Amino acid sequence: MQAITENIRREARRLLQEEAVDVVIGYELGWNGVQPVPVFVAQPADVDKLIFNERCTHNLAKYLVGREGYLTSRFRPSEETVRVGLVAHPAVMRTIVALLREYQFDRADLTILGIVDGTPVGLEPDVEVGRVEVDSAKEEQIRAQIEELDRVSLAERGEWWRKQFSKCIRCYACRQVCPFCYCEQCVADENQPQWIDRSPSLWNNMAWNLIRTYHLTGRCTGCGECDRVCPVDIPLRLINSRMIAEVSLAFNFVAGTDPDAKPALAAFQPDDTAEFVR
Amino acid sequence: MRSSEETETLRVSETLRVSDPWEPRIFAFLCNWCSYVGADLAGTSRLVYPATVRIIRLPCTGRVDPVFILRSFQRGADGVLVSGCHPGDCHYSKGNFYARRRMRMFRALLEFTGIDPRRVQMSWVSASEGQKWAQVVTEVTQELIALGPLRA
Amino acid sequence: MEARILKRERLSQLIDAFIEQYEVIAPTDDSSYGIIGSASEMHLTKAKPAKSPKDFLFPQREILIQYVLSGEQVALADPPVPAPVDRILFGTRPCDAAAFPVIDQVFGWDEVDAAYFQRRERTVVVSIACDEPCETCFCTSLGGSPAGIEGSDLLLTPLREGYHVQIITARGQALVEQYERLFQESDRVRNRERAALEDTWRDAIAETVDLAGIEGADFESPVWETLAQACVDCGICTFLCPTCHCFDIQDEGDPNRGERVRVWDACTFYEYTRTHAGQPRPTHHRRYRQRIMHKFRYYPENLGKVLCVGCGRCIQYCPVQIDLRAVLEAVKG
Repeated sequence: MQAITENIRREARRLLQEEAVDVVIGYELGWNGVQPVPVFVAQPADVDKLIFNERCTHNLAKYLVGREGYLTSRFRPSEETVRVGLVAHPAVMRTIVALLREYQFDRADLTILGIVDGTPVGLEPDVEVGRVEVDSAKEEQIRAQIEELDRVSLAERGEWWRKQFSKCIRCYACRQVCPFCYCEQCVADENQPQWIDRSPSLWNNMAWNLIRTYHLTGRCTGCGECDRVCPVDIPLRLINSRMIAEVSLAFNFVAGTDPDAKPALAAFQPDDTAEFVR
Repeated sequence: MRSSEETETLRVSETLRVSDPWEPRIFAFLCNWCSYVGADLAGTSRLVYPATVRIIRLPCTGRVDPVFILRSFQRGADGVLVSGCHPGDCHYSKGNFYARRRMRMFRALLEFTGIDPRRVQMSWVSASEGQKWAQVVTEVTQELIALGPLRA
Repeated sequence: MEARILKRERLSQLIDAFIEQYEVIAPTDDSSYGIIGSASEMHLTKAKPAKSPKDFLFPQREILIQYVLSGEQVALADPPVPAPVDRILFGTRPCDAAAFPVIDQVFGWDEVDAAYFQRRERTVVVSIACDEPCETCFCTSLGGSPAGIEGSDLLLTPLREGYHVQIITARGQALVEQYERLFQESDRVRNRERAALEDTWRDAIAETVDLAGIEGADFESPVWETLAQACVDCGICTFLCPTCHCFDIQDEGDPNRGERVRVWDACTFYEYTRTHAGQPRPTHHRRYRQRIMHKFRYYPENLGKVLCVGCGRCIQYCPVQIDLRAVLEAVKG
C-alpha cells in the first residue's frame, strides 16, 4: 500500500508540474488520521496529501459527472476544459468504462492513475500505480446473504425487505454517492407529474428504492458505496448485486468489463427470450 | 416502529369501487398500434371476457416505465398487464424489444423484493387478435384471483 | 438539586413500569429510536443512534389535511391524529435533549406549531449521560456536556454502582414520585461522584472548537469554495441533526382522495432553493455556506441560540467525512 501511495504522489506531481491535468482527484487522510476522504489536488506542492490504502472505497468517478461534475458541469465557462487525473481503484475503473460507454465524457480529458486487481476491464489506465487483490471474502459474503434470502418464501422475503425499506429516511445519500446517478433531474424530484412521492411512507420508500435499483440495472458496477453510506443500514449492496447477477444471467452482460458492449437495457436481441410473455 | 403518528392512507380512486365478490383490478398499458386495436376488435366482435381491465393507451410498450407499474399498485391495481405488438412488428421497429428486456428485469427485481412477479404480466396481441385479447384477460384475471388482492 | 439513585438491575423494571402507563420511546437499534413494548426491546449502547429523537416531536411525515372529492364537493378533514398520549422519551443523550429548547424557538416563533408543542408538553425526557463520548462529539464547544441537563426532565448518570438520577424539572419530579418505590435517596458522596465523573467525561472530548468569532463568519470569504469540495449534496447531515428543522409541504394523492403532508427537507439538496425564478445556490459551495451561516449566524441573530448541539453525527455519518469542527475553525471571523 505504501508503494501505491508513493506512485500516486510521484505521478500526480509529474502530471501537475507538466500541466497535463488541472486537478488530481484522490484520497487523503480525514479528520481522525485513519479514514480516507476525497481530496482535490491542484498544486504540485499538495501532492503529499495523497494516500492510498484498503479503506479508500469512495467512488471518485462520481466527481467527474453530473450537474457539478468536473468533466460535465455547465457551471463552468465553456472555454475552460478541465482535465482531470483520477486515482481509480478496480471498481472505479469499471465505473469509468461504463460511464464512457454512456458517453458521459471524453476519454482524452481523463488521466487514469489506475489500481488494478487482474480482472478484465477492457480499459488501460494511463498509469498503473498499483495492484491489489480481489476482495473475494466480501463477494462471498454478499453471495451468501443473497442465497439466504432466496431460500425463504416470497412472502417472508417481502416482509424482510419491507422492514428494511421502512427504515429509509430519503436522505438520497445512496443516489448522491453513485456515479451512475448523474441525472440533472432525478425522477424522484420530478413533480410534473410526481411518480415517486417525497414522504417516507413505506410504499413511497419502496417506490424510490425499487426505481433507483431498476435505473441502475445493467449499469451498476458494484462499488458498494451506496451500502456503506446508508445511515440506517439498509443492505443496498444485496439488491444491486442481485441485479448485476440477473443481467449477467439473462443477457450475458456485465457492466464495466467491455467498453464496446452496449449496456444490457439499452440493447436487445431480436430473439431475446422472455418466457412470461403470453 | 417509527413515530406513533405515521399513517398511510390507502388512496383508491372513489370511482373504482371495491366489488363484491372481489374481482382483481388490472391496469393494462396497451400500445396504440396493435394491442389497443386488438382490444377494440374484441369489443366490436362482442366477445365476452372479464371486466377487470382498465386500459391506458400508449404509443408503444417501449414507453412503459416501471414507475407506471408501481404507481398502478399504489393506486389500487392488483395486477398490471403490458401488451404490445409481436416482436418484429413494432410500429417503431424496436420499442417492444426494449420493453421485453425491461419487463424481464423488473419482474426479477419484484420477485427478489417479495412482490409476486405474476402481478406484472406481458402479452403480444396484434390488431387482428381480438380473440387472443379476450383470452389473455381471462387468463390473467384467473391468475390474479388465485393470488388475491395486493393489499390484504 | 434533588437526586435519587437507581440500582442497575432496577432499570428494566423501571422501564417496564413506565410502559404500563406511558408510550415509551427509546433507542431500538443502532440507527433509531422507536416505541418499545418492553424493556428488552431497548438497545442501549455507548454510542447514540444514528437518527436523533427529533422525529417524535417533529415527525418526518406529518399529515396536515386530508381531502376527499365526491362529485363537485371537496371535503377536508383533519388528519386522524391519535389521541394525545403521555410519552416518555428515554435514553436520549444530553446533546439530543439540549436540541429541544433550541428548536422550540423556531417552532414557537411567528407561527406557533401547535402540534409540535402539544407533543412537547406530553413528552417527559429522561436522558442518559455519556460515559464514553465518541470521537466526533463536541458538545462542550456548544455549552453542553456529556452529563448536561439542558432540555431533560431527568438525567441518569452511570456511577460505579447504579445510576445517579438528577431531578431537573417539576415534570421529572412528578415522574420520580410516581415510581418512588424503585428509587433510593442519593447522598453527598454520590452527588460528588457524579460531578467528578462529569469532569472526566468533559475532558475526554477529543476535539473542541472555540466558537468565539463565529458570528463574524464572512459570507464573501473565498474559503467557502474549498471547504465543501467533497460534499455530495445528500441529506444525511440535515436529517440526522437534532436541530435541523427545514421542511417541505407536499400533496400526495389522486384526483379523488389524498393528503397534504409536511416532510423533512434539506438545504443541501439542489432542489431546495430552486424556484421558477432560478436557483440562487446552484453549487454545493453555496449550499454548504448557507447551512453553516444559518446554524451559526442567522439563527442565533434571529432566535438567540446556536443551531447546533455538538452531537457530531454530521461528522460521523457524512459519506465523505467533512468535519464541521474544522470548517468552523476555518470560517471564524
